[in-house]
Amino acid sequence: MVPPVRNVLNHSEMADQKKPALPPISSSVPIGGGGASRPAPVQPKPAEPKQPPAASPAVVAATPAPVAAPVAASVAKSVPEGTSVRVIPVRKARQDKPPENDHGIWRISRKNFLNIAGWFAFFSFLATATVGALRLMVPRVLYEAPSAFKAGFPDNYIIGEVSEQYKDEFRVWIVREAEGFYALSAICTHLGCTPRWLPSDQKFKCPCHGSGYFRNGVNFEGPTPRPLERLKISLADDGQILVDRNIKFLYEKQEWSKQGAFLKYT
Amino acid sequence: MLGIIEQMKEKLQRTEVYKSIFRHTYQDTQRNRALQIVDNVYLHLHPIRISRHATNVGYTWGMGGITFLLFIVLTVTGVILMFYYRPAAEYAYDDMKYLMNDVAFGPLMRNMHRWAAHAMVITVMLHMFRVFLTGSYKAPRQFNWVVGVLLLTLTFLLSFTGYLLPWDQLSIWAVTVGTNMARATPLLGHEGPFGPELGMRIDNDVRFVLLGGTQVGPPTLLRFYVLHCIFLPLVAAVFMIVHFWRVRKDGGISGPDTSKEV
Repeated sequence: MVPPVRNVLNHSEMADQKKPALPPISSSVPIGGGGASRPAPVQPKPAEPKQPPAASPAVVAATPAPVAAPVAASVAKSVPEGTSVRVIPVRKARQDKPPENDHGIWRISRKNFLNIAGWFAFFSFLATATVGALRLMVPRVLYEAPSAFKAGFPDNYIIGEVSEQYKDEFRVWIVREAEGFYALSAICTHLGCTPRWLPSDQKFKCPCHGSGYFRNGVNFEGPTPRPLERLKISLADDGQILVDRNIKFLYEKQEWSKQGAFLKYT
Repeated sequence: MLGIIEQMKEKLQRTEVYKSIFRHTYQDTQRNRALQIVDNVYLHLHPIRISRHATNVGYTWGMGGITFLLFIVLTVTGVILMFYYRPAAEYAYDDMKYLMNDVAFGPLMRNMHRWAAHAMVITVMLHMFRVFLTGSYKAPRQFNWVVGVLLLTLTFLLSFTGYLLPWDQLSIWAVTVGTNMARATPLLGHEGPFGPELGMRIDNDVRFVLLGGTQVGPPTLLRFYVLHCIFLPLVAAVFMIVHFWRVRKDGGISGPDTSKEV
């Protein structure tokens, strides 16, 4: 009923067609470029090895008549009868100069100075704005607890007790042993939750995934791969305990025996 | 009386305003059927004609369309929630409670948002699964597969950023755990490969920028809120436009191999 004539409505028909009806487009190839998709030998190519490849499409386009005819013939063969094919004539590209002499806008002269300056300004602005937007995302001021803090006088601690006094604000436990003190970071080494100190079990237990640590911070159960981290602990000038959370001591690197990981006090 | 109405109707239909809104008649003709689609900015996303297999739910599962529907549901309910929710640490949790307990239809809107979000993650994965099973990632659709992978990532990021907003213990610790992965980013994380060598510390690496601090805190809430409500939906919408356009350009929804049929 419906003849295979193109009308406005058949967007999908293009897609459904088994053999794409592309030939009409390919007849205009010499304008666009590459010789790869060009059908058959369009023109006996002059055997000039010195000729720059960029110039070849222009050469083809310059002679429209002999190109269009063989293309149209090949098109007619590939399309079933009864279909009307519109052959777009090849137009010569407008060019003031031969392509090898045309530098486009990238030649500073009086004519295109403003052009280049405009693009330069545009890209400078874009780069500055991008850098600025990225830098803006890095805050300069943090409203967080300071990394170092004083934890009161050592005599206020009871031997054998784990102090949770500084846990809420600084995420640090201060443990008092008979020989002295150490500060444990209250950040689970599994995935960073805050474990709990369970005095009855004498262990740190993480509520997130069940990692467990002894009182000295060494892990013994759950998914955690390594012990809790110890933090630098020392005595300040006024006799108070000073904890610096920026300096960490890792058991697996044998750092717990280092100066600062343990505060001797009897 | 009837004559007057008919006259007015005819007069109305001759006005510029009427003709610019209703551009064609509605008799059931092939042409009008097509025009109804082409002349509508929303419907024109759809092809005018589709092949029979494209309507086969058993083949497509309709997962892409359902995902898009859920995205629209999430956009609408999300905007509604924004009328009550304030992304500041002092207010966020209370506003969420307010929505759930005292705002009329607040629980409905929040639960729709929540369940649609869960569903979207599921449908987007099922959509990917279907595309894989039917081989629809093959030429000429490789490009659209890549766009789809980006959209999958964006969906996960939307889900992840939205999870922090109730500002309860669950969300804070989930995001703490999730963002700790960013520590191990190569080059840009302070615990990742070549990170420390490039001068990455806990207070200048990629996780720090994401959180706006060294730990999940009020700046993180604000950042995730902006990402969740503005940035990620816009980026996702742009990629969705490309995705749908590409479906059309690549020949519509893929179907069974018909090359051997006549």
